[in-house]
Amino acid sequence: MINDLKIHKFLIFGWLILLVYLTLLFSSPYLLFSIFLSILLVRIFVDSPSWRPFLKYTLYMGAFILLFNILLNGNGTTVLFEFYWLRITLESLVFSISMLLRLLIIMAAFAIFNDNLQMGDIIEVLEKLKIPSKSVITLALSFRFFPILLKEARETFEVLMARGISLSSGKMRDRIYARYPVMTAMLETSLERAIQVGEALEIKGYPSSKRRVWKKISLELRHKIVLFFFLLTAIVSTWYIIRFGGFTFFPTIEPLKLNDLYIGILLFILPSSLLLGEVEDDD
Amino acid sequence: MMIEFKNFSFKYSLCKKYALRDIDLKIFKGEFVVVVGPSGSGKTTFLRAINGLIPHYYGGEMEGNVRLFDFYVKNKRPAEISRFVASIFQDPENQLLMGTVEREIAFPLENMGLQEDEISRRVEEVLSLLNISHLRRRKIDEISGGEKQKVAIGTALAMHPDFLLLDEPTSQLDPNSAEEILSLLERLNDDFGIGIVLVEHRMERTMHRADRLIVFKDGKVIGDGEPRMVASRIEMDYIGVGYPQVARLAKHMGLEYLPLTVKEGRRVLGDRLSSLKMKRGKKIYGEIILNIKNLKFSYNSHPVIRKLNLKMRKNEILGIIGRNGAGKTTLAKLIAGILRPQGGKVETHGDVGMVYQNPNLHLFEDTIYDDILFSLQKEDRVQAIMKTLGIWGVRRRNSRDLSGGERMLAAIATVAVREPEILILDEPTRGLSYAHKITLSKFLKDYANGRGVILISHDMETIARTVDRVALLSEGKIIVEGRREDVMSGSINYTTQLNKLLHSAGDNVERKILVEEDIEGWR
Repeated sequence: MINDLKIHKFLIFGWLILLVYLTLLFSSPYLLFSIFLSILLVRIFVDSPSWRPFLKYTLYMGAFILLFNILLNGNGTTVLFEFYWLRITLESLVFSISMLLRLLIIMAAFAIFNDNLQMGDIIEVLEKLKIPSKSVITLALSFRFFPILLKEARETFEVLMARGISLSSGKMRDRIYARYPVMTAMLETSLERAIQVGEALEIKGYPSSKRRVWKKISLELRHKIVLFFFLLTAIVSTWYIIRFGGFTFFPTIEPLKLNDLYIGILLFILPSSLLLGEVEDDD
Repeated sequence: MMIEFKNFSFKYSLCKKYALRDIDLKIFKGEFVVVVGPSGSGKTTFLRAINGLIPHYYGGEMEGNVRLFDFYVKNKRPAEISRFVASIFQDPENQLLMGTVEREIAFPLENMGLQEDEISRRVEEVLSLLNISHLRRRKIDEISGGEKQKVAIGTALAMHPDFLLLDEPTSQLDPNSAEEILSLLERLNDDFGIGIVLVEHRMERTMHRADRLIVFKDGKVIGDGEPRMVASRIEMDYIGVGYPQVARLAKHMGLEYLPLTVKEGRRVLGDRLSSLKMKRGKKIYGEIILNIKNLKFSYNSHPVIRKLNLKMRKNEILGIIGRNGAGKTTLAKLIAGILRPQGGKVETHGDVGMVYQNPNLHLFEDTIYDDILFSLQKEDRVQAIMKTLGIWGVRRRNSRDLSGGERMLAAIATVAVREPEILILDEPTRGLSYAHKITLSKFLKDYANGRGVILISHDMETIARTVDRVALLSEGKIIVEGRREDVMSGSINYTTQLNKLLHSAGDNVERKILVEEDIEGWR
């Protein structure tokens, strides 16, 4: 099996934080594409059952972002298409692609993160980072909220189908109306689940000032090296933005420079070093 | 060493009615207490008042006190109380927080600040006590419902509590797994003196195990004492709690001493059993409305349904039974068209509606009336179905303010109001009191006139009371199928307490009787 590599939980957490940081830092489509390629490489070796549904939803959302930007953002000088008020430019197209890539990176990274880290792992990682107990609960629940939301959404869709309410036929207005309760149901069931999880944490004695971790997270030398690579990526990327500034979309799109190529290669290789962080047993 | 309620009353925030009112009682360590009552009578609130979730997690108006040993519950956080009192909820899914079994068991011990060696020792002890050492490193998501409930109990036991509080721990388990869990509780009580406070609706499973029965109604204790005595003083059927079937039969025959187990039933009822005759009657079925041929389905290349064949006719209620993980819900989703067959076909005549195990997924409007109206914009039909199911009185309430039983009935109404040709109910008896089960059973029998119903359940009494035919599903295949009295009578696992009694009572008794309604002249 090529996709059953078990990665150290601390590294997956660090990797996610790095990718979120990089995505916020860069807007260049070249660099974002490079980061996305590195995630694809990781995905080949690391299992992620929810990868496909995550990306499917992202593409739906992405299509909306693309259309929204292309149709309403007429800035830029390189006109690709013009018809009355409608003005589609190369710059707005590239800007939309950049937004889509950001979304793809975040969603893909979260898919891998959620499939490889249980709530207990997240708590252990946060404890290793010496985050105070009460904040750990809040953060752990936040991390769990997103996949729970997707699961509840799927089940609510199924229930509406089982109730004979069609979500994919009829006029657009009917379809939107049929989807409205999904949002309400998702919110209510997710909040209820969150309350129950909180209740369970309380009766299991959490949070506790006396808490001791049974099996503490230990990092071998290679894990520390991977963490160093992540840190290096963050530092170099920050320096790069300070030194060369952000990507220019408007009025004319910025051409690909040699510097971009170097940093692009770095952004592909260094985050992919996650694959060196294999563990035989996560304990 | 005890739990003491002193003139305790509690009202949840924004609620007008008290959930518990004037509770005065003591529970001693080592007692096995079963708590019963109709849906919404205050049983869960009672447990929350002991483990500290009330008043620390659930706000509201509180009077009186709950004392635990030498401290008042209101003065300590649930986290501190947890080392004396461990709690297990109905749904293990929501209380298992860690990734693997051993980490789950270790989690509360870590919170207690125990040394690593001590944690390792306790985890090892619990795994071996519950006979789940083989699950040690398994992911929680990968184990069965029964195993999850065992892990939840293990997590509680590892804290070496003085009391275990359990809220319907067997409601989602097949009969075998449920029996295993309850036997385990009995052993923990016998061997280690752990006090058990168990909320349960299924009286035949629990009443004989208890030292004491506490009956709640409208937030008040209306009965408290030795189970047999309490059951003979209170009309349990009338208040909606019910009796074990053997006790109900004895009561019907005018006996004062109520047997609680099959063995006691044989001794007490003895020769009287031969006078019971099976009610005869013939039901006429219509044309085939469901025809499943060689159905196949897999999840991630793991086969769940394997070349399954099944038919159902108009006017028929079909029960589907089988252990946890046998493929019942997957089959239901395939019939409802939610999943697509990967082989074979499902032919249905007319539309299919399905009620999910979790009623909350069906209810999202401000009131349950609006929830049902959302499915069908016909006020007269909405009103009719709500009245039939006995939820008209709570029509203006939000589903989150209802008891588990009322929520389930409302969820059923959201689907049934559209009158699909085939109505599927997936484990609808979870959290339902005896009275609600009777209402549900009557409703389904009426509903099946001119239509079909598929009832999936682990509750053998409800299955026997409701269905015409039963299919036993195992490893994705129907292994037995036939009239309910043929399939269920004499079965070791999949039958009722009454049938077990008759089957073991001798040759001259009617062995096909499953429920009281099968007896000629039963009213």
